[in-house]
Amino acid sequence: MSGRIADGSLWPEGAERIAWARGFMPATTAIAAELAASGRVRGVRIAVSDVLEPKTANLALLLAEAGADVAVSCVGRDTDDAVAAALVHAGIPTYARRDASATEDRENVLALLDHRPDVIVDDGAATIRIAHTERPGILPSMAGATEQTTSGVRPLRTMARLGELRIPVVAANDARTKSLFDNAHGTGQSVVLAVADLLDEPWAGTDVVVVGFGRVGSGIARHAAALGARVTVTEVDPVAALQAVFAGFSVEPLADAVTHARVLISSTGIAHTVTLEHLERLPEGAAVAIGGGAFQEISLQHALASGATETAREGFISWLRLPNGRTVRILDDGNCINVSAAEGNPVQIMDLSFGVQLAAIDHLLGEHGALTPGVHMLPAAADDRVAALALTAFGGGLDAVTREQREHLGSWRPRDVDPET
Amino acid sequence: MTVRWAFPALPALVADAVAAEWGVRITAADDATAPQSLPGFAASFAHARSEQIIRALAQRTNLVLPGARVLVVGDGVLAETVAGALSRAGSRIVRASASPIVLLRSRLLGRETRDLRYRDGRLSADHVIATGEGHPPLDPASIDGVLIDASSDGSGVVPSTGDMARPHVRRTEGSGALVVDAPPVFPADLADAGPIDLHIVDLLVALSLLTRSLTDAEADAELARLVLA
Repeated sequence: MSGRIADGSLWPEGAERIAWARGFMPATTAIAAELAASGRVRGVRIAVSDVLEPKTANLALLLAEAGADVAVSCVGRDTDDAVAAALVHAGIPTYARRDASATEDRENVLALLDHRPDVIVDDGAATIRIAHTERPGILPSMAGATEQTTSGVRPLRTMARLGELRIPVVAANDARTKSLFDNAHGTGQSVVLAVADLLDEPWAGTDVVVVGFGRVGSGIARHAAALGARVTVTEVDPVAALQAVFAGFSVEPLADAVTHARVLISSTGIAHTVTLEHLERLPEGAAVAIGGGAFQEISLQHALASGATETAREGFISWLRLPNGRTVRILDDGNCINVSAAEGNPVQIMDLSFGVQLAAIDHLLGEHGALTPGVHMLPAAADDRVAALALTAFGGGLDAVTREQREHLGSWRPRDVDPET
Repeated sequence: MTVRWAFPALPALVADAVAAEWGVRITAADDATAPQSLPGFAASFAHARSEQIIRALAQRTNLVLPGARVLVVGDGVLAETVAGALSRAGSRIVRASASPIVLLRSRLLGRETRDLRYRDGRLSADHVIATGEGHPPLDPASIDGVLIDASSDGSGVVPSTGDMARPHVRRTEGSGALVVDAPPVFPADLADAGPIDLHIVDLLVALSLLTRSLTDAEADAELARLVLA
């Protein structure tokens, strides 16, 4: 079975962009080479369920080159049809097409799961959760899964707390090499520049409101400010809000901040963060985007049910007239803007994230049978290995802990007051 | 009345409309004053151009800016604006210039510097941004890295040939340079202009109209007041 894609003839374009990305993925390539040499993934069935663009394609191809039996799926809004075609051309079953309906998206996930994967590589945990609800029969033999997003790890921890998570899952998202870079720097750059590309308006001096100051939100705030925007942050966490103040940003309640937002970017990953009431307080023509990604993070369904109407649409921009008569611009229907309306996070950032995903696969397979169902951290040594590979690529050097430092770290005696010990 | 600038010619539709409405014909002339020599226009233009270039560099390559080593070549306001924006975004900036004053200012900002008067060998960085201000055109054959020409008139980089690595990115024969197509400051056809292009058009038209009754310096100050408002 070669999967379900839109147009197989698009493969040369996809292959060209996949090759470009490969040239900037040294860490992922190196870890994949180690997997190939160890034979760890040879014959292992791996389901990759992720944003389908050139970097993800490289992850799938590298796993296949290392001997894994790989299949891929992706929801339509995050699918690059040319890349999907290139994967099929390379012999990887792929279930993804840009114009897929919600029903077809679901069928594609089920088709992926029908490959009876030993490991699921997930983005958002939808495939892991659907495996639990729709294909529970595949779970007992699985080595586990890896999940690379904050919004995906959250429901998995809920499942674990309720005793409903039946496989071990590595929270790849929580690895330092992933979250400190992908979430903050990669998403920050790609979200701000995707919004800038869609609006094509000057950012210098523009009022930008960033909802949430977690790693993604702080990255968005930083990149917006880098272009000269006046950034205001809104938060529910007083510690995060204080961090925003110390980073030089204004902090206001969302209901106040929206009144002066030319651009509003929500990064909470939580549904109904931006409500109809917030939309109606925005200035005329303000733009609203999502830079994290939860279904209905902007309460669009409620807005439409309450009388909001789309008055125009051009590309990824929808003009929405609200019940109070004001019109705002919704970017890409409130989907995660940097993956659905752009080419996703920068290549070198995804090199880190996919290096972590490969390290997580290695860990799951190495510990198959030993890891209990639940959410597990990637071992620090594996995390460090990916970072060290990338550091070399970025031209950085590293020190080693000395014997004296190690002794100090391992001692509890207060040497400053007892220098003889 | 004719107002001449050493700046790309306005889209014909705009130039004709300005002439018809206000009786001012705005034309491009290499021997005229460059509007970037006026500080108010230079600041506004540099921010808009910086955004155009940073967006094009990121969007056309999908490569990372934070952590990347970026060589910004030139000694004008545009170079400092691009360097500032990328520095705030987390790039490791190297300022390359032949001006000791620019190099001193950059060094005192904590930036690595490269003196172009003593340039020998190749220029190497993850990204190289030529501004065309205060430096001869960079030859891609002597560059290692991703190269983009931020100049307003295409004077920052020597034209080169090579096959396409991906849309808008050309390899350079016999070199490690990857040359990214830079967008024009505004398109020749008004129909192709986006809001940021029109912002630059607006700046030039407003400055030109102000010079009808004011000196260049007074017009530039008034332009700054209008932009602030």
